[in-house]
Amino acid sequence: MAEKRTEFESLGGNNLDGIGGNAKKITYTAEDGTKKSIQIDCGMKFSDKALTGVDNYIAPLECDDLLITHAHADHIAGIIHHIQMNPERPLNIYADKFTHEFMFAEMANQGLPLDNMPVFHDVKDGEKFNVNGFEIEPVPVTHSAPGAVAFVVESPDGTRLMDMGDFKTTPAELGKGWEDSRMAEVFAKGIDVCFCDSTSTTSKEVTPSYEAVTKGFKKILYDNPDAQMMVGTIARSAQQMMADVIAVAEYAKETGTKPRTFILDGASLIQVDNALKKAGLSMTKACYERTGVHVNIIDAKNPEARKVPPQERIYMVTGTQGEEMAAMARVARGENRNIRPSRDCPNLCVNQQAVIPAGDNQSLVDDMMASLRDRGWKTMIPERGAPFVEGETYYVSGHGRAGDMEKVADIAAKNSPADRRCTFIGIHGDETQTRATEEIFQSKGEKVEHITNAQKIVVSKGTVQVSPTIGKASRIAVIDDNDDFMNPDFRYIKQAFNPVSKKWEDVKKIDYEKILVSKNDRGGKGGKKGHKHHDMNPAFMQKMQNGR
Amino acid sequence: MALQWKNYCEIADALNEAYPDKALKDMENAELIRLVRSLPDFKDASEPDETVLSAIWNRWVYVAYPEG
Repeated sequence: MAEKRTEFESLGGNNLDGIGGNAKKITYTAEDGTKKSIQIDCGMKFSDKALTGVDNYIAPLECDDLLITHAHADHIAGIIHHIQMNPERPLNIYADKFTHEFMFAEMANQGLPLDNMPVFHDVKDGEKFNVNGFEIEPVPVTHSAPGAVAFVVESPDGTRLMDMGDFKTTPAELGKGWEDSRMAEVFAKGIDVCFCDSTSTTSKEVTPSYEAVTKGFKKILYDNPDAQMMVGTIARSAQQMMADVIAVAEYAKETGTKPRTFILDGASLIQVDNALKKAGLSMTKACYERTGVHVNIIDAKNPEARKVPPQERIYMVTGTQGEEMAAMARVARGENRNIRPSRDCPNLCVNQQAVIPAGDNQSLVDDMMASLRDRGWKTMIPERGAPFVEGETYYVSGHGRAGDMEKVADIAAKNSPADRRCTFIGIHGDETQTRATEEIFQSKGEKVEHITNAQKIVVSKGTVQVSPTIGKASRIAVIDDNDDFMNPDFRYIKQAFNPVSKKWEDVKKIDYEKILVSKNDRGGKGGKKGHKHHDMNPAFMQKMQNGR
Repeated sequence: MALQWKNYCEIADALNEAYPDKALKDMENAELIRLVRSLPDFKDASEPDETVLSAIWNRWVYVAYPEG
């Protein structure tokens, strides 16, 4: 007879070498040895392609029942690959409505046949549900993507685990977000192990709120009252966009002027706007309810957009990381039919996202901003890691810092039952970051453990232990560009697509000397007409890796 | 090729060709259905469900607007 137990395995995300590819599996083993599993997230990890020849890695998908914490690529982007690799696989996805709508849009973008789409189940705060013997409770948290949730998973043996997802502890602008009282309720019921986002815990204090963005953006409005504006944003990180909308409304109220009109240009902005509406999170409506000011948000193709005086326009565009075919890069090249610098007023471009340190982003962004200046745009871009300055900062991260973790520790200490103390474990970070998270909890007197990818946390008879053995390495390499595959790190990669056999194979059996992967080898209907874009081409990969 | 509702990628391409300057934000389903039915190659008398309409609309947005 087996000993009943609940295990949490990091399939990806607890990397020794960088952030991404988040995936976690929870397994219950009954006394008769039968096992039941669910998975949380299935993301992509971004490769240093110059060193490895690998475009990116995707996390494994080991369960047909998948909980998704939020709609960022490092949590969802592996799913499409897995469906393409195994189209008949029945897949149930449990996520917030916005996350679901956004994922559906991404799958439609890539031309996934409707018959192969997963079954989506909407989850809501306060509504527990059962999957494969586990009782699941979604708990709203604040992150740059709306609809972000933590999941409390109660195993059939009563073990309660919480995956916090990506979070910070200040309020959300759109939809439900972090509430101390809600998290206190969760800890009061007892959590055996809590897994915490570690991405930014090496930074001190609490991550600034989106309210800070509103103040910073409002200052830009005050400083540039007569400028035509173009703001670059990452569409799915819509909390920041909402902070800008609130700033426009407040500025109009304070100055007694007509609110500026937002004009959206970029596929994902139009799709995110639609997903927000379907999820009951219309930005216009939310802004009006909060400020009493109606801010117009229209489409760049709408003929009304041309009638808005330049000084009242804020073009909201995609392409903050210099993506070649995105709206901002097209403006920089003078190829965007909808957006041109005005001759009647100053022109200001605010790239509202720091450069994400991946691939060629820095040089792409530098070149794009220089081209914009050549075309008459004054430019602004936040510096990654710059200290927060009240009223000046106009970009904030969606990840909690050390101060946010201290807050979680305090809530847990105050509310957890005395006979059920929580063990905290850092996830979603490299080795330095996950250990920094654990040190914070330890300094607050909480219990901690540490795992890396393919290690398990085993909870049995009330004890929490790290498995002594390392499981199988589990990343899957994605190599779709015309590159030789040079130096794969076999410690982590399990499978890769072999363009010679046209199959996904054990990475150790592939002869990489002979590989020169054609852009079209994987087929599919992902092509964007008139572009070289297909399901895994470099432009798509850059978009995905920037969509964290 | 005669287009049916399930051919959502091909429908989106055809819509983009027929209505290249159409603003897609806030488009109602009734308007989308009308535009699809106006395509000369579209031959499907059945009523579309919400999923297929959402797929057509999203895919049309994807081909019609700059990437992001």
